[in-house]
Amino acid sequence: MNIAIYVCLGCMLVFGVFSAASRKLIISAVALAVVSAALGVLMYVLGAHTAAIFEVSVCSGLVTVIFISAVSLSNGDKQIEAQDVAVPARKRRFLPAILIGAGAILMIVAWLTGFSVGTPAAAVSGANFNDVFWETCQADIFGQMVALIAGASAIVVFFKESENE
Amino acid sequence: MNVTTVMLVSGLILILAGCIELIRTHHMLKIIIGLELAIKAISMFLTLGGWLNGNIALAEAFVVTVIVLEVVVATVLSGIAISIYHKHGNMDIRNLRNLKG
Repeated sequence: MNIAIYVCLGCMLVFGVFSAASRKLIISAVALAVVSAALGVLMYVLGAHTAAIFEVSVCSGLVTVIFISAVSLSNGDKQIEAQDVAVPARKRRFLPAILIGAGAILMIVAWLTGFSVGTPAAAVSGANFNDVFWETCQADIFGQMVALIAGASAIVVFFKESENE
Repeated sequence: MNVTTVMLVSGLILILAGCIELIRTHHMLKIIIGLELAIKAISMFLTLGGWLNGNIALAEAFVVTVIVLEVVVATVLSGIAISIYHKHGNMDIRNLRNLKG
């Protein structure tokens, strides 16, 4: 189990940093999808099966399609390249170095201070996801509905204005 | 050092990567990607918390809520980016300062 967790964490870190450092928007979007897929596998290994399915199908699929559609509707990659001309290449290379350094410092501090979050406890309740989601978290469901309606209304307004122009 | 500490450090690095991306660029799609990276780390922290406390069902409910909000944020920001592109010909977030009303 620990090996699967370490592999997923490694994939998330490598592709996450690559997604942040990449100059191409399409490559960044695909790397972000790989991060989502790795997070979905990690959730499944930790026992959050329903959340893992949501993560893989929605975040790794739908959000990637949205990004690629947005890049296709514009010349996003050319803009990124034009913007990067103003930033020297050596400055762009700092990002992985900063993140590796920060990770190394955090690991050393955790090792020196003996920091530990704890070990996983046994399941304290026998409730499954359906019971918790539909009975305990009803306010969350209403919030999600409001957010979805607001998002859909916003998209309708944006593209309606574009058609008028 | 156990696996939970490594997960915590990895999540912090992902949040740092997202924040640096937010600071570094003015392109809206890159900003959304940085934001998504940070939200992935938050989802991982929620799952880790549920796993540690033995209450993974509650953590799953919160993660599903975060995923729904993440998709709404990504969709609305992409719509704003495309609208800016149609109006100004680029996706520079500084163009939002010129909005009226």
